[in-house]
Amino acid sequence: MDLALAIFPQVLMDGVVLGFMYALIALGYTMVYGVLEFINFAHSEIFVIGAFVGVEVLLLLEASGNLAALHPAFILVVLLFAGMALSGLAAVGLERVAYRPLRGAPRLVPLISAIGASFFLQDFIRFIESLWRNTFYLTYPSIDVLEKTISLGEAVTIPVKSILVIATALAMLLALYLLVNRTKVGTAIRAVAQDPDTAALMGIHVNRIIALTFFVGGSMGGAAGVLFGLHYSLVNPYAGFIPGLKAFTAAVLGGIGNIPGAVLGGMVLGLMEAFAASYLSILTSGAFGAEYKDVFAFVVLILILIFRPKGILGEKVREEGV
Amino acid sequence: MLRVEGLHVYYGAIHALKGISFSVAEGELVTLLGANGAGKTTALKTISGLLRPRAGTVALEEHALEELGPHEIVRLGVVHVPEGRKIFPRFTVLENLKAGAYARRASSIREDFDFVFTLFPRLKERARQMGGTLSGGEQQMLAIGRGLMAKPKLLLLDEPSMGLAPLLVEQIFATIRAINQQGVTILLVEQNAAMALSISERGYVLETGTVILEGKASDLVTSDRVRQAYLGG
Ligand SMILES: Nc1ncnc2c1ncn2[C@@H]1O[C@H](COP(=O)(O)OP(=O)(O)OP(=O)(O)O)[C@@H](O)[C@H]1O
Ligand SMILES: [Mg+2]
Repeated sequence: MDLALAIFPQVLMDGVVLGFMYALIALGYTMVYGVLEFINFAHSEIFVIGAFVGVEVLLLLEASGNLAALHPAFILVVLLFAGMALSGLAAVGLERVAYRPLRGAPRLVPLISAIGASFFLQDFIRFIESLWRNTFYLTYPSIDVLEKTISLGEAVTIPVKSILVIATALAMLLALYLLVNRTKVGTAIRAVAQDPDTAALMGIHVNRIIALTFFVGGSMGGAAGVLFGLHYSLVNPYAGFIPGLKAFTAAVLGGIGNIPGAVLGGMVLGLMEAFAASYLSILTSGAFGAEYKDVFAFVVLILILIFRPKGILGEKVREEGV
Repeated sequence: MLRVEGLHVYYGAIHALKGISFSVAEGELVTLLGANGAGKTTALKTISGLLRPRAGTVALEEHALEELGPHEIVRLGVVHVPEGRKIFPRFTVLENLKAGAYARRASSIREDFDFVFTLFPRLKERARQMGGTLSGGEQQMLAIGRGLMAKPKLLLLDEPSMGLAPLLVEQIFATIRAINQQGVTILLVEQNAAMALSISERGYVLETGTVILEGKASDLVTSDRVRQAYLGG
């Protein structure tokens, strides 16, 4: 039990970091679902694009000798904006090319298109990186400040990396909250999510709002990609699959289409996973090891969905006018 | 003001409007009558840009509406209050009204809130309530109020009296007439033919996608066909 107590703060921190990561990715799934009632399965690759933009910017800075010279805060901001911009644009392009022409087709059709787009993007990234760097397994160059830790008392040390992830994620969530709830385009996004035809009758340019939603959701995924790279260092074109699947799960868990739900679902899933990874073997005296963390997390997920099929904060996404 | 000419509209293979023509002059209140499935909603949706005609034209003064999207048509002052109210359920009453003014500059909408609240004092009491939790009658008031927030020149109303208690129906019709007298041109789709014709100047009768009858409202009320089909003998 002593051990269990001693590692608690560390596990909590890991869970929170993971939770924010899932939350940021989950937003892309949930926002697009909100306006189109469609799961963008290529969103995991939008996330990976962010991770690759991040590593490429860092490698280019390193090669030009600027990595050490420039202020790390400046580098991080550039990294995030570059990742967000490219992921956002990629998501917009994807919508234009792979989804919009299929609007009005049976629901399965755009889904298949999304899966196809997902494979295409994976191999496209692989192709580009192979041409350009002769490998598609890349490592983030280290930034010194990020390798430091901050000690709180004797038992708890917090890696600066984790603080970066949490602080950035909080800032992005706040920005998203303000965009969606306090601006005119935010009103338009929420109106389209409730009823696209009626939104059009209000003078809202529905296609533009859908594209914007892809951009915003995509850029959240891109930011998550950059943070993922900074935190775990290794990226490859297929690295989006597992985090994407988990984030999609988080979105469903929170209630697909519901923005606070995506954040909550991400956090629940991240915490469950971290606690399962550390505590399963302690609590079962080694019968179940950390490798069962996903089993545990998904069992809890299934239980929650049995009792709340629409997710924790879920509601019917698009009501008919009464 | 509005001139619809030879309009053909399809849903896939279904031929819903078979070359209908009608017009609405500035300041008029015109009613479109017809049985269920006649194509009334289809006609309004085509005017407001939600549907595209396969052939025919919709002219608003010098603008060819059939080439524009719904968001552009609203900005020309053509405002469609859809069938079934279509309130945003997760917006409050206030947010729904604001959504109605989406195409306008925020600075100029103050008086219009006041105007809507004078027409429908009930909406003011319910300002912070979610649209989805309003009663049917309140939703209908909100739908009309939301349409007015767009400052319409031409208001398209699709069955505003549907599902309302008789007293409320009378109130809604009185309001429609009042809005018309304020200078808003109105194209009204109704099942309640007697009421609709009593406040209209002219009317058209649709049957399975064609105009079978048109004329002054006072003539239509007395015409045998309208009496038999819509006024119960
Ligand atoms: N989305 C659609 N897909 C296929 N057919 C449709 C669609 N909407 C309407 N229709 C058909 O088009 C015809 C005209 O429908 P419309 O809704 O315009 O009738 P209406 O006159 O408004 O009827 P009501 O009085 O019942 O509202 C009907 O036969 C209807 O079944
Ligand atoms: Mg109808």
